[in-house]
Amino acid sequence: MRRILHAIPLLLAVILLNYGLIAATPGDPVTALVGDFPAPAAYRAQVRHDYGLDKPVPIQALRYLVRVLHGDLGYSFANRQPVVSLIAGRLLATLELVGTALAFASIAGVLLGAVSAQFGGGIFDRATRGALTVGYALPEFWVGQMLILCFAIWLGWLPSQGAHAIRGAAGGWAGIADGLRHLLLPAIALSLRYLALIARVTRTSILDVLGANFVLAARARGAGSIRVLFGHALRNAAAPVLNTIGFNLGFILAGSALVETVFGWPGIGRLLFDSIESRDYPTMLGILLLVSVCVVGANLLTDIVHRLVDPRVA
Amino acid sequence: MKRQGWMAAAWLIALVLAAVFAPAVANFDPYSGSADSLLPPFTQGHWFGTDDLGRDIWAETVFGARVSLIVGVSAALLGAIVGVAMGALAGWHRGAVDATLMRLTEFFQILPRFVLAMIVIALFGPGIGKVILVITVLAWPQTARMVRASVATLRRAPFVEAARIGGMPGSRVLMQEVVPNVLAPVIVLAAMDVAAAILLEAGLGFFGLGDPNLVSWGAMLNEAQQYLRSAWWMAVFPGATIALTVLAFNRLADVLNAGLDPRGRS
Amino acid sequence: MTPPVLALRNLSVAIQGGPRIVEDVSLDVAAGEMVGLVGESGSGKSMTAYAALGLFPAPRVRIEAGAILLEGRDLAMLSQKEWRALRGSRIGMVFQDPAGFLDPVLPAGRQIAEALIVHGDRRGLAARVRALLAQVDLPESVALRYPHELSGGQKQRVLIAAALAMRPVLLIADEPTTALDVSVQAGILKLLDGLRQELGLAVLLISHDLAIVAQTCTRVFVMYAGQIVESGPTEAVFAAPRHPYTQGLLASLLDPQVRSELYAIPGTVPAAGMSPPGCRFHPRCPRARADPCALRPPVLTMRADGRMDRCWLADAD
Repeated sequence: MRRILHAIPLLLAVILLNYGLIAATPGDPVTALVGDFPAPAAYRAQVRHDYGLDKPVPIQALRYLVRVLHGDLGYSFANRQPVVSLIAGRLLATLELVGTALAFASIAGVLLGAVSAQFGGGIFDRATRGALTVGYALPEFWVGQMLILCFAIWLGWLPSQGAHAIRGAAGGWAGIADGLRHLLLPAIALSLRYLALIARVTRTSILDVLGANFVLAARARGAGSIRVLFGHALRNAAAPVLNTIGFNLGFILAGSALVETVFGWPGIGRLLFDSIESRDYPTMLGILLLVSVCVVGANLLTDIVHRLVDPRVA
Repeated sequence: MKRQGWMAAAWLIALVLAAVFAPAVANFDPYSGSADSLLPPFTQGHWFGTDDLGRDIWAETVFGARVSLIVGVSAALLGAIVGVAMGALAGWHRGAVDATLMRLTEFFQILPRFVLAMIVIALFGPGIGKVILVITVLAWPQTARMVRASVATLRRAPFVEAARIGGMPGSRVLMQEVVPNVLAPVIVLAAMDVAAAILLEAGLGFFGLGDPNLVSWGAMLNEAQQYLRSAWWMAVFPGATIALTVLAFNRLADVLNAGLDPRGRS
Repeated sequence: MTPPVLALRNLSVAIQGGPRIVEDVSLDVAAGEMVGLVGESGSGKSMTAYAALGLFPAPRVRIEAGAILLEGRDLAMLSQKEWRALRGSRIGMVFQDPAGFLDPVLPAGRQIAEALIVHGDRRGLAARVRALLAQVDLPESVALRYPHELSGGQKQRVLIAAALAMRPVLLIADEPTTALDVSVQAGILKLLDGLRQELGLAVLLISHDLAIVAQTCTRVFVMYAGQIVESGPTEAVFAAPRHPYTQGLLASLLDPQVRSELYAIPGTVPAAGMSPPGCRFHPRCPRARADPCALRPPVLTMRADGRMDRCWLADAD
């Protein structure tokens, strides 16, 4: 409960930051609300009036805040659409990509970290650690390009662009298979750095636990390595690993913007790229707000889950 | 561990030298195109090939190191300075100053760094100085939190108490006795921040938000995107250079960390 | 004659490719008997205890020579799997710092049950955990508590319950009261002594605190620098210690009457492999002579009364 109350000022601050960006835009702030287009003067005047830009700053900020809280993120003149519906139309594609990458990175990362810790110091452990260090240094958009080069261009196994086949979108199983074929490469590209991060944290957390006295006590009771790993180590390592996953959601959302651009994935990241190209400021600011809210939400959720896994934090 | 540390150091030294002496290292002008467009590597003296406008990829990569290193190092350095200052103030004064500064770092930490950086550059226009500024603003909180924790502990240390009882003014105790003792982990964090800043700058460049007057690795990858099918070398070389540089800075941080950790854990 | 529950015969423990940390230790514990193993920290007493469990807290520590006989059966050559079957079922262990030896994210009851589960004994689990809690004088509700919700004494009782779950014949207690408040120590010792009587347990009590050993143990072994330096019935040894090390330990006991003249043995225990030539204790010994103490190592010798000591000067008295 205290955590939720804690999140509210953060959310308000995020909205006010958005307003601050609008107010600080060089030139006429209306531009930040309309976009950099030759919009009709009457429309610009209307926006100026709606947002109270002729009024003092505190009133402007308040009006902006109230609008956002009512779910109004402005109007994208470039797309002739309210920003909210523009984003809503792209949300599903991004959720599909980010969700897949997040699940893959979490599962594979935890497994890899756990196995690596189990063989601590051995060949497998050293090879894995090397690979993880390299994986963590690779820019995800470049990984995407390299995957396209290998699997789409040279080998021709998988498509390189979009979320569906362009011609004749199939239904049923064929449609699902087609969707998965399109999803595979971007999901891998997006998950790689995150996977490396999760695996590294899992490995160090488990190694810390394996050296703990209560593991010695469990072994003195006759517990073997499997029991120690599943009964004690994973459970104790869960809190730091979950924190890593949850507190870095912003990281994977940012990566998604880049990866969607590489793969022409019709999600919010691609929308951000397009809105930057077309100087469609209201859409950009709407996306920033959405991502910030997601990060605040993810942090809140992580805190709550942390409480559930770790009885010491009450 | 040690060997990898030396390899990382060797790569970084080579990179710095290449960036400083870029005109001598590159045998072509990275800014002027030619009729020889999309040449594969090792043709007509173009080691890394040429891009769609006939510019030499090797020269572009070498000159691109300038942007990446300047942005990475300046942002990390400024972030460290701001972070140490904020953290030291918060940890030393406690109370309201501490609470306010920590709320501020918390706010900055939840901001989606990359998306915010993109939008700020898109709104305020590109420029290497702005990129450095934005990354600095987003990088300092982690350092601040760490420094705050160490300073808060050191405040009670006997040698600090002794200096205070000895009549040394608080600000001098802080600067001369406390801050030097918390700098070791700051250096490790700064090395990691350089890597993060280089990645962020590359991402901005890839989104077409780099300085249009300077070649950068990210911008090269942006161009390469359209030519993946016809000119793989446009993507492979700059991307690999980013990866190696980021890897080297991370490695450097690991080695420094192992060297500074009294327990000597790997 | 039935063999003792635990008998160590010339046991040596070493760091792989390094020095011996326990050398040529022999001792035995009979059913229903509590035996003390005392010495300063670093004397090798804990490593001796861990060797009896085939388990070491540090990597690369190995049993190098000797035999560990549990009810007459030699354990030194057992496979890992065979060791696992014995740990927690025939031999239980209680540790120094109950806080660190309980898993912080599992309720106490689960950790007691673990000893039963790993040995494949799942029948009536909940009821047996309750019975074990009652045996260590804890209320049933403790089963659902997490370690951080328990006091130090309660945690130690939970660890004792877990160690006793499979009804072992031998209980090794490594400094079981050291980390506890003085007020709680007596309760834990009383509990251990009660369990010894009630269950006919053999208990090996490892402690640096001679007062505790004097209270509870019938026989005592004193260790210094990896070796046994003196042994015998507790009363006799403490009434008339023969080894200067035992004398020093006793002299440094906190006696309320002579608190102002508290004695401490000068110096520290030499690290493994750094022992001086001759008697390992001679640099710290107030009575040491140049010859033979500093030249030749004394051997553990049995005297006429059956007590043993490792001192050149003991029979010169």
